[in-house]
Amino acid sequence: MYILTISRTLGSLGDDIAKKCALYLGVPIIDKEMSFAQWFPDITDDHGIHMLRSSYAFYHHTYDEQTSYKDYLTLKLKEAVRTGPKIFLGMGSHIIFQDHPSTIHVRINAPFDIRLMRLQDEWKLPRDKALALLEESDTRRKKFIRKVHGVDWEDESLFDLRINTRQITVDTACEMIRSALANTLEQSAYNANQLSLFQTPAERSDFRHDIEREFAMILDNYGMEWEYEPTTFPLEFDDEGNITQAIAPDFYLIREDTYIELTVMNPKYMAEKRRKIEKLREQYPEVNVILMDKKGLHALIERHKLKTPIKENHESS
Amino acid sequence: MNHLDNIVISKQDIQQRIAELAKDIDATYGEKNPILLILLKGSIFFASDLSRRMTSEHTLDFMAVGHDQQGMLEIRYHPMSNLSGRYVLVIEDIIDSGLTLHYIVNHLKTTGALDIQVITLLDNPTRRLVHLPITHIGFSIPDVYVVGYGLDIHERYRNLPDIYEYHEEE
Repeated sequence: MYILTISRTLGSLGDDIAKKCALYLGVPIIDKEMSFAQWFPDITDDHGIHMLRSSYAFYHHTYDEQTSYKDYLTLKLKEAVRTGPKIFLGMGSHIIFQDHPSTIHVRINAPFDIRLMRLQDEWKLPRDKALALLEESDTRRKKFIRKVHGVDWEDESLFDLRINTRQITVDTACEMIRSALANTLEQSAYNANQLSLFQTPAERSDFRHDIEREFAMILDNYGMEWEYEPTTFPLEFDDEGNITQAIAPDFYLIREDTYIELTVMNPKYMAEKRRKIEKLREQYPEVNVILMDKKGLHALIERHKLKTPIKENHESS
Repeated sequence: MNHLDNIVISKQDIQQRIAELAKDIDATYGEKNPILLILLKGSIFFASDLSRRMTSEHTLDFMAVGHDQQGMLEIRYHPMSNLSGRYVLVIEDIIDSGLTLHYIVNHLKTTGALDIQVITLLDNPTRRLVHLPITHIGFSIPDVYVVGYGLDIHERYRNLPDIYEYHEEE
């Protein structure tokens, strides 16, 4: 069981790095918002949650005359670890798990002016607003660590790895974390082989076409489990019983029990492909198969690349 | 408005169908006080009208997901309610491939919700890639891009009372 704690400053790319690590490692992220949404409502009401958000001293109040909110948070974090590896984002988790043997504590930061520029750029904020936001965020994080955990937010000795994203990309940061984690786990006799899977399924698979890799990456991002061309379905045979026509749909969605055949052919060349799919449906009626045409495929890919989805009809936008 | 073609669904038809859906949902949930989980932003008008037509007790909450700059899906707003042990009805404006909703439903399953079902105003099943627990559908539509009644293109047209087919300018 291992733990990765990530402490970050606003504008440091820390959230992006955590998400990419989570995707690569197949490990869930637990952050403060999740604790407010899923844990604290079990012991307090909306007012209590409001107090926890606005007054860090409130973490030391007790909710049942014995246990403080801080102790409850610590308890829930430790419980979460029992069910498998976790990535903890913030919450002072690097202090709570400071002495845990299979843990890497990472701090992600960047120079103030670069963080400021990123905020202005990403959120389209004027400089003065971005500046105020950044200063407030730093102050709040510093206060949280001092008031709740009683330590200095800037105490670098509490971290195993410090990453300055001035020039380090999200991918490089993930690789640095992977390397540090593997090293730590090796020393703690953990089965470090699990970390050899530090690639998304799409990245560790071979595809015939780039479009298939891109589609696989989208499936990965949506948490879909898939296989690439796992089954070939014979469709026609000659007199001697040899297979003369077959189809191997590109993807199989495991939990959905559904095959997907991609095509980027222009519609006029698609007739043959459609005929094969129809034959597959006729001869194997128990098999679910979807033919994804060029329009649908490009809509999905375009939507996935864009911050604001436009092509595929706006699911949850 | 030169991007807008025909009205695909009129405001009268929308309201009539929502009244029917509200009755169905009242009958489905009875006294169970479901959480109507509204997926932002597209389903706000649909959810608002549906909620006001319902006569049974229910709770409203919100959730938002989106893609970050690297194209990775992220939850931008978590529901504030504790979903554990609750009946949850996810309210969606439109379902195409279903991948986003599939992600949301899988996330909700980790919250301890007792039951998760989905209602969508519009359903475009031609591009569906995944199975979803859709229990109520307002209208099935063909594979066209639509706007209005909450649905947008680059944040435009959400406020139209009818639903229109949208086309790119040639």
